[in-house]
Amino acid sequence: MSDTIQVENLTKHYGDLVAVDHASFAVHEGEVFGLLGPNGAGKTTTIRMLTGLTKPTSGTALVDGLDLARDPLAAKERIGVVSDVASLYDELSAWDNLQFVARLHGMEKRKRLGRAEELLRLFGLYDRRRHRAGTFSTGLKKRLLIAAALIHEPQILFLDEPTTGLDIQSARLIRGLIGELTGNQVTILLTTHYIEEADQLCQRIAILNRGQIIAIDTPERLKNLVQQEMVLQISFDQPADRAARQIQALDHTGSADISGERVTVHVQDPAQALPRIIDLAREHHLNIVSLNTTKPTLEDAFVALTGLHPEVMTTEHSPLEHQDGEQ
Amino acid sequence: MSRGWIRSLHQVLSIAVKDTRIYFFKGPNLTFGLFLPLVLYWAFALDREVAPDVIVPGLVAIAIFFGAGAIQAISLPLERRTGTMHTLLAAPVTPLVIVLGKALAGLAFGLILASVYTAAVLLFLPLKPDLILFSLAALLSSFCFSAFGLCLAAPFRDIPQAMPPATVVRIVMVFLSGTFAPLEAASPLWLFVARLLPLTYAVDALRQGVNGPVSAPEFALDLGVLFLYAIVFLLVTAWLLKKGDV
Repeated sequence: MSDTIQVENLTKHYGDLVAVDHASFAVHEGEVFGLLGPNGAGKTTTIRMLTGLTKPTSGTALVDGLDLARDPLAAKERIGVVSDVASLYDELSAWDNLQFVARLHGMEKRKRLGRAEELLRLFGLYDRRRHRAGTFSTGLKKRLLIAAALIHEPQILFLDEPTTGLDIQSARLIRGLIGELTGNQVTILLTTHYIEEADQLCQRIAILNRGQIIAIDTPERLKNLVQQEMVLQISFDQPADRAARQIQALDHTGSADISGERVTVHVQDPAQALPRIIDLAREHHLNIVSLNTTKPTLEDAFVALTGLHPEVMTTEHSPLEHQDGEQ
Repeated sequence: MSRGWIRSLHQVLSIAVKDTRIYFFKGPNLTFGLFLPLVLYWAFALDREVAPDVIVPGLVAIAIFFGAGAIQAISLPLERRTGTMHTLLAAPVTPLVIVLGKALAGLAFGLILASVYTAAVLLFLPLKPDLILFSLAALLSSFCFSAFGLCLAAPFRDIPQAMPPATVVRIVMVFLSGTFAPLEAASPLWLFVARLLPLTYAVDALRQGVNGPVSAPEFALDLGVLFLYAIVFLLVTAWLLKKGDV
């Protein structure tokens, strides 16, 4: 599998601040690759350097084999960009916005008319094609922005925080569209601070913190990095504070969360810990109502790798939180 | 012409058409382009019994000076603030293409204002300008001042930030460039400063368009200086756009 994006020691300084520190990674052709990290981790700066919007202090970035520093125009012909701050013209209609972007890409009239219609239908905007973009909701604007980024049929799509600030329905629709694009040989590099979104959409993820890449791998392999600890969720028929404290004190168990009748405990070896927990329940005359073992999530892996609390990722509320219930 | 040049030309025209559609009818354009020149001239020239052949070129020069630049004082900071500049720069266009497209829109606005003022003034004053020379002078002046407006607006991200310094610079230039009165009576220092300012050459070229050329080389010099200034302003703006993080 060939690499569509190759990044080598990419670094960006803003005065004394090191926004991106020697980032190196490669994105395979047709892959959805995610940059995951909290606000200020360097995701947006990385994507801006990869799209020619910011010059790197040092390092190289090749897009489809083209050096962005040496051949930016040819590189930009191959990419579509949906930046977190980019926007289209509120005064122009959805149709005219797409035509304008298509003209900038030098598309022939017949091709750009057909492509605009195709994309507006795909993104559910065709009926509103004559409406000014300024009348669109945030979600509709984001859809139009992605359509504009795809108008010239780019090989690579950069999506910077594609669902940030969107309502649940729009976020879900955009994630669905990203999923559809993966079948069309479009390589996608997206940034997100929503852990679940990265897990759901990306084939590989680079975890960034303070400008540095801490780990790059598939979501499953990242989760396996913290596989040695499993999570046991035990529900008793009555509040179990005393028993829970004793469970926490057992060998091979880590931290425990107590919430009324439910105890969540991290264990290194469930086979050893479970009989002791059952014994403790008997001693305290507690009946076990349910007992679940859960595998570590990407959030667990993120916490283990970065040492950050997951709350730093949710300074803005994740649409997935509402959608999926508890996190 | 190579394909690359033709494509760049299409991009320039697309940006210019887009700018005319979006920014021509914004409020500040009407204020700065239509009303400010009239108010300035009313305040400083009309009560001094200035001759019509001085009034017309001066008034048209000010209209072009403020009008051609006004559209850029809006469009460039607004594009940066709203994020549309990202969309432009993410496309395969050079900063110079963006700047040229915007300058072309400003040029068109300057020419429209020049036509409106000239037509209105000629209705009431007995002047017979050389329309070819006058149009050439208006064209080059519009190009130069549109580029100048871009250059003044380039460092800013918002209209309220961009407007005040640009307006101050423009008003100072209006007074120093012999717009309200011929520079013959000016002191040597004033004359020296005036010769550095593009507005001086625009006023001179427009006067020659109204009164007939003093000499062909002098008229050509005015146009040449305006063109050179325009190129310098465009290159500086493109450099600022390329250099600065958007």
